[in-house]
Amino acid sequence: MQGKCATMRRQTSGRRVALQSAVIAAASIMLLPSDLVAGQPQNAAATERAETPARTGSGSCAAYGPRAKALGDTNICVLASAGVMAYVFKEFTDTDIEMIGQRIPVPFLDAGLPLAFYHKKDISHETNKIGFGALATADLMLVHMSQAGLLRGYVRASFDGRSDYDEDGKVRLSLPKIDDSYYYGALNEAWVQFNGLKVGIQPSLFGFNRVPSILNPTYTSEITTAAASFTIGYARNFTVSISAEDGSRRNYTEGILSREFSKSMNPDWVGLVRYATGKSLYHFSAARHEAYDTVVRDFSGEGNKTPVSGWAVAAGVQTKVAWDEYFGERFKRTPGRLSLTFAAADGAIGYLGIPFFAPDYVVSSSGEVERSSGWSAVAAYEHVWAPAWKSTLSYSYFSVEMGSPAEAIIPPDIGPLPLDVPVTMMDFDIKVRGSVLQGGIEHKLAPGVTAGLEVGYTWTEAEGRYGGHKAQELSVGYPHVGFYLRRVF
Amino acid sequence: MRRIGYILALSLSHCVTAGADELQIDQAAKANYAFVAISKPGTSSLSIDQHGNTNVISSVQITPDLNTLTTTQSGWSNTITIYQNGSIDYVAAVQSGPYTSAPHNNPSTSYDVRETEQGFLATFESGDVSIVSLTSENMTYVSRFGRRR
Repeated sequence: MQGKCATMRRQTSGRRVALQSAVIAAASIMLLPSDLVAGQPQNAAATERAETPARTGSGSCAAYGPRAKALGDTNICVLASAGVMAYVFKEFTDTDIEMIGQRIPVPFLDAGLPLAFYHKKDISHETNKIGFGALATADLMLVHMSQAGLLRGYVRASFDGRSDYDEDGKVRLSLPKIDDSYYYGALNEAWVQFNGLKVGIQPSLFGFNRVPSILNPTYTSEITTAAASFTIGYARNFTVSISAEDGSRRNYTEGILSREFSKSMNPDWVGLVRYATGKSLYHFSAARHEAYDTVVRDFSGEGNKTPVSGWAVAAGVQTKVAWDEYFGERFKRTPGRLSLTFAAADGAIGYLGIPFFAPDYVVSSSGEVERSSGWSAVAAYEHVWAPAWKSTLSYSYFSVEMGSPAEAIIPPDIGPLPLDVPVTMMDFDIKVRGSVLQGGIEHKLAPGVTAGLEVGYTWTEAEGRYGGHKAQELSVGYPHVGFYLRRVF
Repeated sequence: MRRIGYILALSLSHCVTAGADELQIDQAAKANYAFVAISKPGTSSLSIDQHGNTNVISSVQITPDLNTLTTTQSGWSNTITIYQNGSIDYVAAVQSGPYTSAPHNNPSTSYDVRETEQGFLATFESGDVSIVSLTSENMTYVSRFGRRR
């Protein structure tokens, strides 16, 4: 629409992260025990490799799994894998909630008055056709064990193309971009690890490590970012980790209500504690998000960068449900897996793993910052019905609230004497809530080949206040369905 | 005429009409906000009528030739801030207490944008609130976000 629309930095979407996790995951219906304590690779494929007892690998590399091969006489082991997935999906709706941010030039407010609105947007051009996509990933790990310790290097790249219908209904190819680069968007992980120290593009310590659905993401944080992390293992089942992470991939900013940037010299600090018992894995993480904002400087031409910060915490548990303990031996081959995760954030909404319904904060003309806050939670259950059949059921919920600092339309000190009337203030507050209920079934067609069907219902609700006056609640809900076929090598 | 009225006000319907020269904005929610920021084209001519409990007009007209603004506000709290900078600038403002017992609008949530001769006219209406902005292209700063950004 109008004039200068803000350019938003695209990040890898939650759907894409979920897809990548799906393809790198083993094609088998394996549920447990896939989760290692922190400091280990957080994808299921790598985990499976690392935990599989030595059977058929070559020489000393057998300790890293059946696929590990020795690299000549170098005492270096190589593990490589690849996967492809094709999928189709359909959303049964013509509308969805869209947010509008606007900064309006107003007398006495040099940087303008920030306002946000919500409404139902017609998205029928996107949803009246079937969406489709394809994803190919390849990963490579090198491992070297010496007396000094464990040295590993890991790279994972992907081609992730999906349909994107423009307003004329024409289909285009959409590829993920990070920092306006397709190359960064294609490089999912690239890190080097020496014992507990890992440096490079790696999974953030903040997120829990499994997404139960494939095509439609749940509201859980799972992101890879440039980081330096260090893990101390106090016991085999108890680790403490800390990392300095590039916070730019967490910035939720749309350029008008806020303009948030991160400095490499001022990273996000993330801490993680993981504790495992025989059946359960517990996760506690916390993050401090650091950035600066330039929106007041950019609009008023005066002032400096404004330091901004936020925080986030998360807790989760994943546990194996051994049904044979309750119903007898015949259920031994049909275990389940229950996972619960919760995250809360203030000024760091990017840690919630939710759609972009609120920036991290809103900055007033005077430079005052009002941080957005919210929380998200996921409950998921996966069940193995037979060696080749698995089902999933999950419910995700989020709630996020954003607002602007109140500002006087007529400053009370404008004249020689204070105005002897009530000062008219203007601000906004918007709360957005949403949930996704979805179920899926997955069937192993052949070794390495899996087909899956997912159905779900997404619901979103927004309501706001402007200058203390209540606006109406707005609600949108729609079902969706998807089918995928994947092959791992 | 009063700067601030103290009588109950209730609503009329909302409508916006764009004439060849003068653009008229009518608002009749409980809380009405109109924000104007126009620098192009050479002339700007507006009429804004607000009838509600709270009425706010903030107007910046800096077209080079002629800037005219006529406003009528009736409500418990009426606020106007105006800045004009052209060869000829004209303002007529009428503020009064609430005068009607008709019920206010309580519209469902909508957001609409259309281009007029004087700029982009964006209207947000929801419940007790009506917010209108009229901005020239070079004074329009808008972002869109959500699930499908």
